[in-house]
Amino acid sequence: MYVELKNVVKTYDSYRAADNIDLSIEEGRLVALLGPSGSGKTTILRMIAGLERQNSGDIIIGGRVVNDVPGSERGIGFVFQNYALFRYMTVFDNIAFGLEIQKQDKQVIRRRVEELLALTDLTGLEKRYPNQLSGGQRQRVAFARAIAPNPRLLLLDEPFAAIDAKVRKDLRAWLRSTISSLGVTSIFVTHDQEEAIEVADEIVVTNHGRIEQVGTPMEICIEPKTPFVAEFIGRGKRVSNIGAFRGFARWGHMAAIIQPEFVHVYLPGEDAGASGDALQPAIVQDVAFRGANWALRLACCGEELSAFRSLEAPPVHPGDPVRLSVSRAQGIAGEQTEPLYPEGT
Amino acid sequence: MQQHSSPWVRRLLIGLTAVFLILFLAVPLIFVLVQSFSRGLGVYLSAITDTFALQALALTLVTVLIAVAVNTIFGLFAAWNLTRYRYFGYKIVNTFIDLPLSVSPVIAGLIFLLTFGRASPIYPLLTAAGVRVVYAIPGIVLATIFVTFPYVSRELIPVLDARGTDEEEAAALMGASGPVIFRRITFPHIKWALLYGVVLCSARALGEFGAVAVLSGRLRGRTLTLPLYIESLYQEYSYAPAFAVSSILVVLAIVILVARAAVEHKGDKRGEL
Repeated sequence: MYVELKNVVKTYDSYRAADNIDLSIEEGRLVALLGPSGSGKTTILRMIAGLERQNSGDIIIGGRVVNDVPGSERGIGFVFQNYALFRYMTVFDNIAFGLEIQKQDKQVIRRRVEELLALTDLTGLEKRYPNQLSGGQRQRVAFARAIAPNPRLLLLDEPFAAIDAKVRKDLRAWLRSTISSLGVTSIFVTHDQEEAIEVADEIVVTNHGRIEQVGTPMEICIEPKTPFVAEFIGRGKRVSNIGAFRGFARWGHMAAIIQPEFVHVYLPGEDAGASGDALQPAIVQDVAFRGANWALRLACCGEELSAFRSLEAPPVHPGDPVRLSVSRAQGIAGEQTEPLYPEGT
Repeated sequence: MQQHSSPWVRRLLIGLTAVFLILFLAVPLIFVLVQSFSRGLGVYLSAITDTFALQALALTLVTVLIAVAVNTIFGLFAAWNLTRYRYFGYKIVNTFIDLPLSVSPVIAGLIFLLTFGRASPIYPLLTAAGVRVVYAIPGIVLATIFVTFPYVSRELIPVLDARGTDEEEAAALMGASGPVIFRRITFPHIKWALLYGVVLCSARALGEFGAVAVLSGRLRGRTLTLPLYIESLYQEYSYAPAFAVSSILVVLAIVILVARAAVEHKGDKRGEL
């Protein structure tokens, strides 16, 4: 384990921003701290960086307890949410700053900065000031500056928040491949599930200062362990009575979350294949075009469901009677969830 | 928003402003210069090269220098402290800094008279140590420092507030020490505001009369600053010399005004004031 948090507590007045956090991160992993705002994810990151001091508990980096070690001696690079580039320094001086502080040789610094400019595709912009750069370029400068002194741990606070949607997609892919080629252990904070799923090897879902679940993106998506994760990760709807859906009768009045991916919708007469017997009637409430597909809101058995429909399939309209089947649900039992599959009819 | 006032309203308003400025600012200034030469160039030159006048000028400049230096350092500390730390009572400190702006300078002078004068419990200690504050140069400097206290910090606080602490945190995480962070990150950002504060502080210190009048003791050639010296000449009915010496202050004021405009222009261009 490269980074470990043990029983870490951080309170602001009466508010518990981190409530007994236990977390282990393996060397070389790219980890996302994912949660809604106020869930404690940024607090965890800032405590690892030494920008905040926990009230109790231990933080261990590389086998060393760093509770009393200042951030500058923890071997970390930090990318701030708004990049915090030094606005009175050129791109070159920004990237060189950490190396200059370490009193490295001028030639060594120059070579390292040039190497990083090439890596971040900023060659030719070294004489510019931060306010002469685009959002994506600034983010790459912040990244280059953070990794210049070869940190063993890279921390990124909402690295894509200040960038427009189109550039964000490209940067995500770039950041993922760059970090994996460098092999540096990295932790980034985000409130965007899609971003966490696309970029991270491992996701830590936080809520109310606690960790809800740790797992690969696949595990988090397919087997959310708590009701919170199930609702936060997908676009699923919570139903109060899963027993009303065909095939789920044996779970009676259990509450459950049904993700749109697992709701299959057919117009009357449309071929439903093998699931033909499991269909039950529903009414389309609302249809929204989402670019790649249609998002449907449906009323079925007194509950509301959401579903996707392919652009290739015949269109449906609000008020249309349809038939649907549910191929999987996430049953809620107290603080835990369990996957439910319909029984053969 | 486009204003659709008639051209006559516009001309009237501009005209009134111009008349007001001429009547209350330009004419008196011209009058000072005219009066100072009213008894001829000889009287003017002898008035401004008078030993007492030169001593008053020297004392004024020394006082301004010390007061501005002290308040620049204090202003930097105060502004840093009030924008970077949140502690119990910081709002009280923040309000307290403005005290010299709301207290009449004469009262400021009296406060120091009571603190360091014969009536004060620490007066015997000061006398034993051979330190004279009241009716001596230290008193004049103290009074000037008090009166010009808030000018630098008031310019810096909004700039530091607007800027946030991100860049400083970033530099600290890379291992930069406090002085390096100040020199390379903070100072470039506040330098125009700082310079502007220094200019305002100098202008205010140069003309201070009330507080200094109480503490000076008015020993000609020893504890008279330029404004006090001018007043004493005037009281002796030496009008032409009084105005002649005034013209020195006018010239210094114009120098500061030009410096201020230059700083404003430069800072404005970079959007930092």
